[in-house]
Amino acid sequence: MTLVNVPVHVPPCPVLESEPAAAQDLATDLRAAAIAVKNVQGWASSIAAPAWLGDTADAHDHAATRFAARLDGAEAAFDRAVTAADAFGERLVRLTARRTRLMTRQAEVNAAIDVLINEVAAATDDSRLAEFQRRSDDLAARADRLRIRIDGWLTDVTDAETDLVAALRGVDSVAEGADAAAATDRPDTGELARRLRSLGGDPVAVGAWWRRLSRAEQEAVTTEHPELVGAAGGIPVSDRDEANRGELAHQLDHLGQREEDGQLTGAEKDVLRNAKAVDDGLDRYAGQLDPSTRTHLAELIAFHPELHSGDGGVAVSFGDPDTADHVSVNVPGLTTDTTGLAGNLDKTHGLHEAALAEGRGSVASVYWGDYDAPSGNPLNPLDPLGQLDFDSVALTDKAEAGGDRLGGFVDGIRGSDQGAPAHLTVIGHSYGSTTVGHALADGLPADDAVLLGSPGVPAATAGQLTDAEVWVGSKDHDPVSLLGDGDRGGLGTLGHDPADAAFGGTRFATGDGELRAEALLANHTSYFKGSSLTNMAHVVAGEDDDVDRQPGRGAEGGDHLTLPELLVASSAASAGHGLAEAGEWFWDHSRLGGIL
Amino acid sequence: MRLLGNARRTLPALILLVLAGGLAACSDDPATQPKRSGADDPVPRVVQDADAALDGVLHRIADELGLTWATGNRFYNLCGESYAPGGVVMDTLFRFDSSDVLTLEQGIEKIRALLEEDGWTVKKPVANPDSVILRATKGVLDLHLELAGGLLQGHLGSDCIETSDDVAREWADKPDAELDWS
Repeated sequence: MTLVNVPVHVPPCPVLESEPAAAQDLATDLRAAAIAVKNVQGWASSIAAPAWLGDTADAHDHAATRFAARLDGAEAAFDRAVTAADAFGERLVRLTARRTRLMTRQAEVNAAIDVLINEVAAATDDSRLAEFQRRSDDLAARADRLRIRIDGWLTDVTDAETDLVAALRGVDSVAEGADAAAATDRPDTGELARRLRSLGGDPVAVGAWWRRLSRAEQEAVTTEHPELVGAAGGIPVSDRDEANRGELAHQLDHLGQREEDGQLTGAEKDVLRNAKAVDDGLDRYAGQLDPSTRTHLAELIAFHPELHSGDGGVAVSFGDPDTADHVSVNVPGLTTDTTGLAGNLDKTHGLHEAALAEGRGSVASVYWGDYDAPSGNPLNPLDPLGQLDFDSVALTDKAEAGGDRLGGFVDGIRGSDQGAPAHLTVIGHSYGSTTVGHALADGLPADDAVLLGSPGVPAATAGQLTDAEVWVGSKDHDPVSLLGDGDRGGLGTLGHDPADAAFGGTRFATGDGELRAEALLANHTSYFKGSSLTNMAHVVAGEDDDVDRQPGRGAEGGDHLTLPELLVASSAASAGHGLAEAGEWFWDHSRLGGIL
Repeated sequence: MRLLGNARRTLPALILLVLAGGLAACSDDPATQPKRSGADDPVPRVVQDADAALDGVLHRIADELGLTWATGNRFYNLCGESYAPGGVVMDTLFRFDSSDVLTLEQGIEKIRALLEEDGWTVKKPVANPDSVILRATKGVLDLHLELAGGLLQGHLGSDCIETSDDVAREWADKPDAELDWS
């Protein structure tokens, strides 16, 4: 039999040694250093000796000016280094995507070669010789083209690394820093910051302005004013993440040093505690990557460790809201503060995975804890009757203020959305549902709203509240969900019960929860699991038809206990069990027990 | 702002207080046994099961698909709120990289077969634009796998493991652990 020259396998694309996520980390570290240098430089530029005269004052001014000038060189050098590291990271993202395509193509070509080899080996005569030779020639041509593309990819990888090294070496001496500082094209960060402030509140305008800036300008204003860029709706979420991570790293470094020196003020202690909680939360998910870019899956969209009476504010997204097909924003309720971030991220990550498993496109799941939610311990006998924060849970002021902030946040991520507008679901749990309700009443631009364990929302009907589709998760044995007014009456302190049939929302199945008194709080805090989580994932992914529904309260099949009836029934359900153990449980859960 | 009278303002809080004060504990409910002994702690068993999955089926998947361990960590969270945790959730996150040729279809089918062979109940894989998702359960463990070109990352977790509150807090206070791969 005549020989057929079958091409050899195409070798695999080498592993990319420099990963996009690692490049992000490098840029974050450089950014944190740049922020620190700029803070010191700003201080050095501003100091003077107002009460001094003569040679002493001249000497001081001279020293301060020289010091500030030296730092200005370092500042300019860091800006260039950050810009280079950021550009390197973006090149790696593109190179990673190219590698994935090349690997896929390589698998196809090699599989086709294997098929041909097997068919040639199985042939018993030359009847298919011409066909085999033609297929072999085609495969050889495809393999050659692929090898050229892989070589080109390798060259680009080398170029990217070479460019980064050259950029860093270009600013690694005092003289080069001074040159960078004196460069005529150095960004004017003062003017950039003024412009950004003037556009504040208009995410579309901010986004358009940001896109017109050069990378160097974006990086310079980011390291000069990370708090401004990190909070600016309309700026791409990945850039806000960079600013916030830079600020976080700077705060940890700066306040960590002050802590070591025993110089922390009370307010700084709060900031450091909150910054550590955010850092720990992000660390947990640092190994999880965005499958399309290989950058960190978690993005820090808001970072305000000093706000909200010391509780701090934070927003973290799993996935990129700017590019995702489906975006959810999860708003927590009572007792929310930044130190509790870990548990809230766990819930949001669980929803993220469940929504991805719907298979309806890319997903971004945001945890938004950036309002002054009522804090405290509802089981603390000192709290409700005293002047602690939990008292305000019975008021709507924090929900109104929080709703206003939430509206601004959602406007911001709507403003930076790329491509077709994402399908956006806003989710509020407990007091967070009241907050969401106020945001919706003010025109929050959401497609769907999910209200979980809601103590009330500020409208009697879903139609009066919003144009969004309103979904309600409400366990009949969750006492908080019975606080709203509606069928058979709740207190109505925080508004109307959205699970009430007359409200007109769509109630989804959550299960009732256990009736025992000691399970009632667990019923309130367990919406992010089981059937409730599954149904939320359907809503988030736009699979409305898959949602398992249940009748609203007051509708046929929607019988339920009122709050007083639930309290009596749950106590009865628990009757017969040891009162002493109940007392021990209560003692263990109350801050009073801890105090004494 | 809807400013209410004092009694009305504090009523919801008082109701929750009554709830707590009225709690008559169920003697066999772990959440009501604050001083549960270590021997009764159910968490180590779940951790053992998770380790067995890592050492067993996940190793076989990595070997079969030519995957390289990139990173992994484990941590614990309270199930409920800090004032009433009720139990703890265990989470293990991990990621493998692939230096070899691996198509999504081939990869996911191999993973599915290996999991089923190991006794996992595997759901039908679903495809998104950038990755394929495969979910499986075995006992109290849930496994979420995401396979993209050259990447397999996952989450091996548990539902709430009911414990006394003290035990739950002890687990939740543990420092996060980096996982080794050998």
